[in-house]
Amino acid sequence: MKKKLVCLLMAAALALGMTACGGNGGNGGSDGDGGNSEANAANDDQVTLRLALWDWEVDGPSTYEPIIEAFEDQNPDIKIEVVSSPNADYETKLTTMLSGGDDIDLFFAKSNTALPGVQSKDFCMNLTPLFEENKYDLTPYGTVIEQQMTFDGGVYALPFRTNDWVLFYNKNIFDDAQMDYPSNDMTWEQVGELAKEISSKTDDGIYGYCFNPKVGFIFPALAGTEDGFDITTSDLSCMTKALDWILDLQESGAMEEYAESVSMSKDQTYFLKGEWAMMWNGSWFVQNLSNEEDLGFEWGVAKSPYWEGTEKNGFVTSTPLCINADTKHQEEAYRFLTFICGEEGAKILATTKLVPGYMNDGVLESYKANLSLDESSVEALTDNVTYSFGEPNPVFSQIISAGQKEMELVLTGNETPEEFVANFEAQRAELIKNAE
Amino acid sequence: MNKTKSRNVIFAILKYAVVLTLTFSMLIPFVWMLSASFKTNLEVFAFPIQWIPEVFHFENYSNIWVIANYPRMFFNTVKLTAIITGLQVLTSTLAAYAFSKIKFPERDLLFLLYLATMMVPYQVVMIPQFSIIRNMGLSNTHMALILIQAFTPMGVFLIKQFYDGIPNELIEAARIDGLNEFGIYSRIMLPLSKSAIVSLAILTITATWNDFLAPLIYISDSKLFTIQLGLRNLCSEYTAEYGQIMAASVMSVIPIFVLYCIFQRFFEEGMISGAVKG
Amino acid sequence: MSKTSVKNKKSTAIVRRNRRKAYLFLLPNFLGFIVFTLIPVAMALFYSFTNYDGNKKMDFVGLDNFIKLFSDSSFVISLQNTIIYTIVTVPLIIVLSLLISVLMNNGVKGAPVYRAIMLFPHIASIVAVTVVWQFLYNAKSGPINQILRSIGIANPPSWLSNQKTALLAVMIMIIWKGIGYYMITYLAGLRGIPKDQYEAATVDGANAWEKLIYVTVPNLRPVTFYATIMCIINSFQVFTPIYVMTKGGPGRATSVLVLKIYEDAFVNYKFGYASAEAMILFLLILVVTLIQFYHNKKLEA
Repeated sequence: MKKKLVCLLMAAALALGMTACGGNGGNGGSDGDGGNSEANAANDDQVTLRLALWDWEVDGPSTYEPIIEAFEDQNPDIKIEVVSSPNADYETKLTTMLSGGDDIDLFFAKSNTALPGVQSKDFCMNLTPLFEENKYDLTPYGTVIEQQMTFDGGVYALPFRTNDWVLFYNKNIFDDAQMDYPSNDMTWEQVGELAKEISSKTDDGIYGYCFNPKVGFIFPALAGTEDGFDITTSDLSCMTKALDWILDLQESGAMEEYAESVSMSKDQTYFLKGEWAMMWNGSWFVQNLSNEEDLGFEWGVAKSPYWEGTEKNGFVTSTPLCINADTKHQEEAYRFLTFICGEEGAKILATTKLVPGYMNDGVLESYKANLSLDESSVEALTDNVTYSFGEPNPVFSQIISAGQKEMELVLTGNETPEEFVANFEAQRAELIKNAE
Repeated sequence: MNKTKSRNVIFAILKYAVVLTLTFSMLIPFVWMLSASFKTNLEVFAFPIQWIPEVFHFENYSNIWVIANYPRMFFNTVKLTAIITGLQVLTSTLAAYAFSKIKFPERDLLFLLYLATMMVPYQVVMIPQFSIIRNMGLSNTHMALILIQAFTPMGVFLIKQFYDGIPNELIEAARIDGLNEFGIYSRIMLPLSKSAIVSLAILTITATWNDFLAPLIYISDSKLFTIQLGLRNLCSEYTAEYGQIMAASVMSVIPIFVLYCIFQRFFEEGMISGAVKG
Repeated sequence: MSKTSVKNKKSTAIVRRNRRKAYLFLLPNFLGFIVFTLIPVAMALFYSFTNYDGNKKMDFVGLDNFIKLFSDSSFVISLQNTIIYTIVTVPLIIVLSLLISVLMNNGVKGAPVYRAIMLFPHIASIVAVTVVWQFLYNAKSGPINQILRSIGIANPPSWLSNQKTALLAVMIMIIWKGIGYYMITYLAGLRGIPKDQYEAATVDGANAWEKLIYVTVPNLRPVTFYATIMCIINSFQVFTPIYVMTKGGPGRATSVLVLKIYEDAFVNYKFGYASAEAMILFLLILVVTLIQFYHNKKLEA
């Protein structure tokens, strides 16, 4: 009787284990999970590299797929498996995966501003020894390597693409208002005047200027208010200039109220719908605009505006690709990294209207030729100089995030620019103090 | 006499007015959601509200079905819900049997341990739990969600409450008749506690289906997303597609509503027996 | 003498056998319980005294985290918001659900239908419900403000985008979502009130209001007590609606305790610090639970 009981319970436990494994098996295999690499290591023929990125559903086919396919064709011993998370949560999800023992081999950092946070947690492999060993030439990447990918003398990432922040404009709206297009040398103050003029000359529902109404897309404008700005150390009162400018535009009706655009979840698609005459956005937007089949209007690009009295710097971010410091496939990962971020990857990327991090004459020509834009627009998209948020440090992203929250309060009319400065400075001091 | 009568009438009118108003206000957001899910983006916010759209835009549903990869999210959620509920019911009924019907020295102590941890909110254990799952190499898998949700003390407690109400004489009689413990469990206790089991199952199904925080913490890969995660994601990605977002919302609540319509009694019983807790 | 020792032997054998049986039954659940509930509880306490960064660094820092908490303005604001949220929502939910359950129990035709509908918000997924309310609250074109404008309120509040009304907006939604559940609890309690008490009150000439105050409410005291405690505990743990609706914004106007714990743990990876914050949440809930515990003891005595 007792034996029977034991048997039955054993059976129950077994069944339990099996259902549990069934649960695992369902997402194992192609979807992948923790146990994957062991299975692959046993298979000598092919190595699977797990690559973390965001929004595969949106960007995969147009941006990544051609390069990955080309790589797999040339390297039949390597298979790339993509792990995609949604854009909005990518930074959190990436940290979770990297610290969670998920065997990611390579990963994109959300942007160069997110890289310091990832690097300080020792998630990225120091690539310098690999570059030296393979005599890899870093000059085609320009200054980005030094400015954004180097920490304590080591290079920890390669830029897959760079994003020049430029002013997109709707030519039809300007034509209808019988006004000249924005030029490649304009201050924000001039853009503001232009926006007001346009709004007064066009129908209701069309705004002269708009930001993509997400804090991350507006905040960089604030950092450009002073040359050599550093978000960790600079006096923040220079930022009121930008805030006042935004508030003035909102009040005049040349820009939609931030609160309204946010609550209607508006984003860059409103430019695509022809409701905004001008918009400051990253150069990736060229791809979105070109992919749109019946846009119904012509558009152009002008160099990023700058604040009066500062050097004519624009804002450039990059998308770094890193190798996980804990990867078990260092050699293969290195091969993939230098392919997708190297000349071959760049050549393919240039045809998709994105700016490759790797630049030489051939790639540049190919990029320009593929743009099929007017000359002034092509000029706007190339040879840009950049400013930044300043020297990265471990609380960098937390400071930026605190600043963005405070900025949102100003834009929604909950706080004045002066209160913004005071509150942001207080929070910054607190973050730095607590980090010690 | 007349006075009390008219007062009664007034009271009755008032009563119905309050009850109906409240019922309506509970229903209206859902009706609005359903109606908006068939509208174009422009129509969604048109005023006065047109409750029945002129043209039904069923393409909102078919579009979001494809864009969000709804079938996969649906499959993930159903799979998780089924496994977690199955395990929860199986292990809870087994454990509750030991706590309720077998006398052993550490029984009260162990049960007290179960009770004590019921006071601890999930947010307290979620960080160490995450470390443990990570060390098992299971983060970003469905297995993580199954493990942390299938063995909660709550289920044991609910079933034990019910078992306690089943007379011990019945068990003793069965033992004398030569039935072994597992036989008693499977042939006497389980059939007798059907309603409690259904209530527990329904509580677990609803909780798992609607769970957001645990999947948010553990699941990074959008291939493994549950419906709730996917819905949230949709709102931040396909932001300006109001009609489609509403269609996705409708689809995320319908399975539970259907279940509710079939098993209403057990939903309520589950809630009330949960209420005995503590 | 020998007889008792035989008896003892026999009883220890039975104890041993029972114990083995019991553990076999317990095992599947108990294993999971130990690994995923019991051990984490102990670890959480331990973490809260360390500076664990979720990765490599883990030093014992004593009470440092707890001291830092109270100079961390984000934490203080989150705690304040959580308390305001609790103080406002709990009484409203309790009183409203009590009233509605009494009305429903008073011979309303079609009561089962109304009751079923009122549970809809509770059963529907919080994410879906929040998404809908976000639309309803839209300042310019949302139905709520459109209706307010059409009845002559020229400047209706901008709800979620205003620091002053954002938390209120969340609270209204939560009250809407919560009433049904507590109404069901009350209805179960009402069924347990003996009819003769009402009959006696009628004989004494009490009117409906007096019956409510002198018969119903006192009889429902245990239910009310339980419901209030549960409601408080749930309020302390609010997360999803805030995460989906406002992510704590605008600014930090709707930041609550669990949101802060989540962000510190899984965005900033300050496991030690976040655990200390979680301990404060635990303490709050513990106090409430202990009150309930002693109250129950008193009732039993």
